Amino acid sequence: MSGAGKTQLLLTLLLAVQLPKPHGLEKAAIYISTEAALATTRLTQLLAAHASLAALPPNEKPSLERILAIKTPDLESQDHIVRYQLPVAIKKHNVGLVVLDSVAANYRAEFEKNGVKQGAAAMAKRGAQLVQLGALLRGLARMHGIAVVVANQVADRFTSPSINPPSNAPSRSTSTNSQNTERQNTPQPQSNQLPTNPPSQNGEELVLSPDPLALDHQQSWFTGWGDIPSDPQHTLKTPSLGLVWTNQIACRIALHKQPIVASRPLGPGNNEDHGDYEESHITRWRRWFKVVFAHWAPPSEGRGIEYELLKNGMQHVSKDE
Amino acid sequence: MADLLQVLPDLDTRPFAHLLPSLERALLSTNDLVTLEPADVAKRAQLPPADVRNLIDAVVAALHRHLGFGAEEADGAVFLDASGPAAAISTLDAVFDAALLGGIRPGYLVEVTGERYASAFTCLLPHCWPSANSR
Repeated sequence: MSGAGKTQLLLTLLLAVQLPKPHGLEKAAIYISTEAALATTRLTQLLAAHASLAALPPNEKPSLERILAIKTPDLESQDHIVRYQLPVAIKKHNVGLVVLDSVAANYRAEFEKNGVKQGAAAMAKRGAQLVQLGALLRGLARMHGIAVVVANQVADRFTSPSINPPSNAPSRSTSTNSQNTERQNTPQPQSNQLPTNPPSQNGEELVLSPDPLALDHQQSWFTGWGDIPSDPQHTLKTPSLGLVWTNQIACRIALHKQPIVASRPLGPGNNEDHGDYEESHITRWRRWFKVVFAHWAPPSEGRGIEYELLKNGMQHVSKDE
Repeated sequence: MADLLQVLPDLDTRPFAHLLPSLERALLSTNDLVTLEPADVAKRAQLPPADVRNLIDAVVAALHRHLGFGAEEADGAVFLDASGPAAAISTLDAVFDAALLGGIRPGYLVEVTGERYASAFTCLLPHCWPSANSR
């Protein structure tokens, strides 16, 4: 249970969609997995322990029978399932939610096998396929009135030293304040290019950012990481599949986690023989739920809502604690 | 015109069945039909302009319906209903739902992203795939 809680959130949604109106749509759910099979034990656990699910009478309770699961081992089968089988299944089983967990896995496997040589060509091809997949899923969501939720992974963000001049810290905070309202704007396509040309703006713009049109600068407002200036650079993450994929989705929810590191003596003095003592000093994780952008809701302020991952589901931590 | 089946699989082509072979022979696609002048299309395919105009009207109307616009929106109605305040999938936590103004709305593509459970196995797994896939 030391992930960020993506799977837990998706499992909760699979059950919640079956609930009557205020909480769900009273419909079935489809779970398409690319990596691990559907965690049925965790689903039963959730069903038995979650505060608002356990209290329900048996005839209203969500059932695992109304969650259809299918596994897609590669991109070809994923494409076939999404394009041909999914529309039929949605109609046949009265589905209200489709979960794809995760969207990046198959792309990563397929596009890394050709090696670095054809990297650029493979990325271009991947971009086109991602647009197609996005259009397909959006079409399904709109035509059938269902929610399509995809899980995505994050990678560590690498920032090149050239865009990190010493004046970065103050400039970052200024730009966060002034551009907060533009958070939902997707940047222009040309900002995808690397900032090769030297920043030739006038002094006023330099205060904002060394290169305000660069993806490295703008991604703070749509990736979910980097809009809090105090965060150290090395903790920043970037969701996989890049800007092309970001433009396909209507809402991004980022789940953050941060370790709480204890002071050195943890156990009864026997932790010196371990080389990886840094790991053992993490006593627990703090987690946040953050709406990065959504068509129907405002973005979360600051870090978002802190929550805990418990046996009985995800629960927010009240502020006055 | 062979792509019409892909672009608009639900379009009833029976009233226009006599036009399609000629359009196909003139190498006209659905895209050309929508973007070119009807008179030019008729000239290229050597068809009566009035018939071509009827076909174009039907295709444009069907494309609009597909996007949720148009007078008789059979598909679009579902989408418009869904945007009402009542329909949403709850996250089963009051504060999360408040942040999402009700929950996950149907009709949209939503992404949940975050760090994964980092065990040694899942860290190494991605490195196994490329070799497993290349035969």
